[in-house]
Amino acid sequence: MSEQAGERSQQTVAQERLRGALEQYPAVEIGTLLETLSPGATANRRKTERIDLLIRLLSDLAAARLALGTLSPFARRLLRVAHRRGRLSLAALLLAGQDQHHSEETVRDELQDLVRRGVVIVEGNGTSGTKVPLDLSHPTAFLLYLWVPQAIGEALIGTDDDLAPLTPIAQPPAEVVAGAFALLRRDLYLALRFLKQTGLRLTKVGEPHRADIRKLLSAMQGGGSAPPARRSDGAALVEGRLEFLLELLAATDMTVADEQHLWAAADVDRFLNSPEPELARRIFDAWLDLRWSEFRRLNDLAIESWTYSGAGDLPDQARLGVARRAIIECLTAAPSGWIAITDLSERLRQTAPEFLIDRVPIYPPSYYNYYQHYGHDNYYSSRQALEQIYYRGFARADLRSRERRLRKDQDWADVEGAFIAQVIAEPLSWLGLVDLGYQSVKHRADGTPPQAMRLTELGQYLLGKNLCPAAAVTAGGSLIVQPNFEVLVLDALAHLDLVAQLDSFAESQSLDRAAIYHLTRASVVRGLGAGWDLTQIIEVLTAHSREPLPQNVQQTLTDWTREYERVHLYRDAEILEAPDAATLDRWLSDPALGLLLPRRLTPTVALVRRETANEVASILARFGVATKVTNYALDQPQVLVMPSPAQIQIAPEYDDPYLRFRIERFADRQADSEDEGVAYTVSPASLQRAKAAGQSIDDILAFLGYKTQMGLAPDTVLTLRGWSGFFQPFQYAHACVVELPPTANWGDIVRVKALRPLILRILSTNLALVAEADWPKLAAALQHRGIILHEGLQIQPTMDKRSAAQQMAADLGLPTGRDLLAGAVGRQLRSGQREQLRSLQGSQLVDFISNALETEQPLVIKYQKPNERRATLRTVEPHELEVRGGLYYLHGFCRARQGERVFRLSNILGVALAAE
Amino acid sequence: MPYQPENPLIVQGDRTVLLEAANPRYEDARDLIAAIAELEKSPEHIHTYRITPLSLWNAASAGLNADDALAGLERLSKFDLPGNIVHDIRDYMSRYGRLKLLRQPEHGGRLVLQAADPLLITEISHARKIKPFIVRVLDPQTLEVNPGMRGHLKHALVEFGYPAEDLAGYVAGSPLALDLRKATLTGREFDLREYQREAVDTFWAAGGSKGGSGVVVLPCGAGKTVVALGTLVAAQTHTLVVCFGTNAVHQWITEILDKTTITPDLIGEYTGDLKEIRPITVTTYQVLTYHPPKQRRAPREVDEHQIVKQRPIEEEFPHLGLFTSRDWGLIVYDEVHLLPAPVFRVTAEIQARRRLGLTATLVREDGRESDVFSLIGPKKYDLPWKVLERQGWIATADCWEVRVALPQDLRLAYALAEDGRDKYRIAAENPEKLAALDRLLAMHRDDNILIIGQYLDQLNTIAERVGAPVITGKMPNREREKLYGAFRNGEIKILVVSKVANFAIDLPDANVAIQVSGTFGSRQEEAQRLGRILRPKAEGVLAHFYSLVTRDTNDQEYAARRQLFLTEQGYRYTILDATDLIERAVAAAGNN
Repeated sequence: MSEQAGERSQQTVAQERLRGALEQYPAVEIGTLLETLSPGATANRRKTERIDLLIRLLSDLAAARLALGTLSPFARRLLRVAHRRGRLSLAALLLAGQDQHHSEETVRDELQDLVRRGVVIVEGNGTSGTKVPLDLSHPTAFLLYLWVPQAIGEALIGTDDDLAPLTPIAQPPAEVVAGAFALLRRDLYLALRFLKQTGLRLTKVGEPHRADIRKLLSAMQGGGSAPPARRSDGAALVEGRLEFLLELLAATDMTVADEQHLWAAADVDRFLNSPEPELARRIFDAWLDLRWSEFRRLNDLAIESWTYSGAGDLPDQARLGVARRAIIECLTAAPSGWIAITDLSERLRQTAPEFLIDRVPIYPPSYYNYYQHYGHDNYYSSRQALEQIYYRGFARADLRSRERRLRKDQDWADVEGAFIAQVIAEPLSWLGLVDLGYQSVKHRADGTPPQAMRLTELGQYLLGKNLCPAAAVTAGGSLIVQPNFEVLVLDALAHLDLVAQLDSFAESQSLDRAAIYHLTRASVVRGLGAGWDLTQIIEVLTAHSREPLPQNVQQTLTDWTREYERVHLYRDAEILEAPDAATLDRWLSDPALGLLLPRRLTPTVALVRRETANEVASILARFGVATKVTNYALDQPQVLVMPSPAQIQIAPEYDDPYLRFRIERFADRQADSEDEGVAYTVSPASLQRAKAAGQSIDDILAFLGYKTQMGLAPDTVLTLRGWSGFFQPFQYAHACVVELPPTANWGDIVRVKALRPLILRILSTNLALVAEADWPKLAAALQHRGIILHEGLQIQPTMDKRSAAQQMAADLGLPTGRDLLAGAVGRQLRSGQREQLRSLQGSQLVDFISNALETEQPLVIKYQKPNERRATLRTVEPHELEVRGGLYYLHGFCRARQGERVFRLSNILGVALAAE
Repeated sequence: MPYQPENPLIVQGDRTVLLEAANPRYEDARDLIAAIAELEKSPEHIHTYRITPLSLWNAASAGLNADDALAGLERLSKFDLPGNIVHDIRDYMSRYGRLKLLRQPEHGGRLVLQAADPLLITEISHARKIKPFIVRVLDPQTLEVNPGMRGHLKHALVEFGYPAEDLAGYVAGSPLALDLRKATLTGREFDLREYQREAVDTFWAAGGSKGGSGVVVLPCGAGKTVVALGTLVAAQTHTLVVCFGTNAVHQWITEILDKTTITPDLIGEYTGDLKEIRPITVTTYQVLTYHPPKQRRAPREVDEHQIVKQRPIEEEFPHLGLFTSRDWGLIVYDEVHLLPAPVFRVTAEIQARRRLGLTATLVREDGRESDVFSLIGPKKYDLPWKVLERQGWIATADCWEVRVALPQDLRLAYALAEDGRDKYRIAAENPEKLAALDRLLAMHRDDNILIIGQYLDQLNTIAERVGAPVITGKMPNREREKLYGAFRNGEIKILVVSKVANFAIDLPDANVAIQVSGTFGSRQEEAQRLGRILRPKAEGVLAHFYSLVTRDTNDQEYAARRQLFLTEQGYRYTILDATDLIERAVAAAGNN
């Protein structure tokens, strides 16, 4: 029921299409057509009635069969071509019809005849309001489309046309290049191996880096030490092929791109090791819609950037897919044996003239209107230009001026023909579907396109012409291990799975027809590291081998494995130290604990795996043993206290041997009591010793700055520097300081020649130094000039600008609120409770810091930059508060870093005053 | 072409050729591939050859053409031939012989370089490195060249990529009548072996200008000396023989006297001790390149542009004058792979004399294979080791590595030694080796044994322990000869020898070699030492080669390197533990 309905509606669609077209016919033509099909039927009918009648007549299958019977095989061929793609431009049909018997004129006449008989329907370009001229020799006729009514199309089924079947060429070609799927498979394998191991860096636009492409290429050339490609191979060909391979891999989802790299996908091994027919089918299917243009690889064509019609006639990806399928279809129909490529090209021209490029481009309707109104082009007035007779978007690569342009009605062989040859010579040959035939070795070396092609066994299978080719069976094993540690896989391409296994524990020498590997200590160790073990390696080497494994190789492999197992580098391992050997003995003999301690390293130390460390600790806890965890990898800051430059104390909870070791390099152990931690004395002698051992005072200060709880006080730094002999001796001399009253300045005095040499140095506008010996002279000279001298100058220390208020408080001996706060915080800090830093924000923080600035008191801050994972505690001597860009910054000397630093207030998580 | 597993060859794109040794068509393929490629290694199952420009020119000079070579390869290959190989073979082989070096007797015997292609002549006459040797252009296809620079020209042409075929002929040299004896002085029957005859014939080429210079490649023990004697007889002329070391000189003289009709008064020894120049003179590279100490100066780089400007080489090396001091008709270069550079230079100037090079391998450590090719001549004859073994001309050898543990006290000394050399010495002189040696000697009670070592202390200890004489470099030649003689006669069963035994001593009856220590990992040395026991044996006697190696030390590493060489030569290697020896020794004792 529904089928019938479907058929009916299909019929209706076909009839509507007919009606649409016929309504565009001029009335006269409708009459003529009706008269031809059914003489006398025009009488007394209106146009709509005539059209109805025509539609009925043209939809009649029996009549259509009758009509076809009267046509020549040539006419049937034209109909078939037109019918294949639904509709075809006149230009395309003219091209398809021409052969040695039919010139353009005869084809046109034949088509005109078919139009007159109603076997071919003419259709305009769809612009309304204009009637379609049925005269095919009219200058604008090239814009017409022709199509075949459905009934005729159905009647065509089972009829012959005059196309002779393609015939194989008589003389087999002199030089044959066999299609080699195996080669493709090898290259895919090598490329994937590279992608798996190294990856391909991508540029910002997602293209591979040139340098990486070169690396990949050299990795693919025989897998290592192959000679460079022959000159005639041309870098372009090699790179073009690589591009093709990478696209194939992308299309088969065998590569994954992240932002910066292209990697091999996870299941590449399965892909590569799938049976050849299956793999070939998958790759072939991927090629049909591959994002890759054979057209752009045509060396004889130069692609031009076409300005006012987009890409011109350049085929886009969708069109390339159509074109590839058309070629494949043509090959499927071809007989087996060597077929001339020109024959294939001709056949495609006759059956699918627009398989690649449309003869009449699609223009905006306005263009046609203009043309049909005025009869000439608005840009060019020549008829050639009008008819858009040239291919647009590309031209011949080697000629100048007019001859560069290619004509759509004449240069099929140079464009579509070349494209077909290209598809056969490159992708189809690379995919192993076809063998190529050349006239001579020279032709092939010159890069001349092949003369003929033949489907390979694989090609015939992929095109559905025969069954799956039988896999080549290798007699015996394909692997040979030689006494000199060489491993060969004879038919490597058929055994890529084996090759992939060898990759993991042998050194690849080359991969060509045979793969050559070397077993070296390094490669075997690499394999062992990757999880192989000796038995597995020997298993692979013997299972596929045709000869027994040489005794010396087996012996040496065993040696290497034994050595590998002898030396272990435990990453992320922990060790457990027992107070004495007896205790460890006890622990090791414990059934639960013993299992978790895989190896005893020394009488008191055992290895613990990181993942079981907690378990060990919990078991020990059950024994009543508290384990103290020391993490050497973590360089814990602020674990030392330096009450004076000469003293270092390790807080007991942070004590560890490595820390002790580091301190002992420049300090002497003083006392060791379990409760109060370990104390060290630093002395000039200990620092000199460190210096002699190559440790610089700056290293020591950096270490201490990082490790002490408050950072280093300036006094400590100075003292330690002094002790270490860091400073050159200070020079000094006795001198008098002279202050001028505000009414005088030193300029007045030094201008006097006699006085000038007596002034040692002018310190400021009102202060100057005078050498002790010179003072009597200067005093006399000044007095001589009537200047009164008073002894007893009080110089205010400029380095200590304590405020007057504070000075007063200090004088009165009263503690200020700040002092109280500072004392409290200091005590807290000393007791190591850093959590009680105050976390202040905004104006509170600014106030706090401003106060510290005023009092010149160092601050302890908990500081964390946004890009840091952990906050650090810093002791900072504040210098200045700055506002920049709406944010507050504190400039100060950081004792931990021993240098001027800037801190953003918003990064300060906690703050307190430090007690000196 | 599909995969044809039954064929023996695989031609790889990187110019290596793999050959299956067990294939029934092996011989066929080997004959072909040996002609066009150089044997790189021949381990047990698959041999590796390499096609190089020189190997292709050697093939072309032997008269092979590219089409035949390719057809042969195609017939014998498992896979189709890579395109670049096909191209290379055609290209390189077509280059040889496009240039011919001829003498034109009608024009006073001037030397000309001729090519059918005028373009090639033009190209050559403009090449910077070749220009100095050209006298003038005679016609578009012919250049007159300086006859005194014949060797330098040939060398420059090889570098240029177009080797010349030297058809300019040779001077005959002063005549000397001699013949081979039917029976040697020691009374053994003597004749050239078939392959030796072939080698002589190929080299001599009936005295024509096609032959007369080139290299014969034969493994140690295959009788290279005899090939030289055959050539001597063919040439019937005064001959200079240059060999490696004084021992070899004596051996050569003995051989010549033993196997030819030459009388002792016609043979001269030109060495450090004696300076005789006679119709047949035997000398050494060492003497020829002797450099008077007072003139010592920084060694000059021997570079092709400099050659012309250099002061006469005889001034620098006074004994090189020997090459021109007599009208030699033939010069024999023994151990061509060791030929020193100054000898190349002088050889370049005596290209009109016939030159025979003898060697076991064309591969030179210094990579100057092209010098050998252009100055001595192309490879004329080649026969792999294994073939001779199969034909019974050299003994079949079994190689064993016996591993010995290092005693605990030495382990500490070994661990503490800082230098690799010191470590090696400790490992090599491992006293445990002596016990293993005892067991080996017990296993080979009836055999003729050489004990070879590196360190004199060790050798002396061994000699004392086993009661055998020791031969070292310090021993005067005459005493050495006496001991060798006693060993040959069977008076002595065991001989302890130092490095001196590496080269050219002929002890045909030695069938067991025990190496107690070697020079680090020298491959050459291993081959030489094995060569000592490869002289043909009486039916059914197997040669045994043992290396005593200290386990888990660098001795073992070096041994592995030496082992690599022998396995590449096709020997099977078995690794044993010293404790295994006890069982074997017991078994051997039981058999006796």
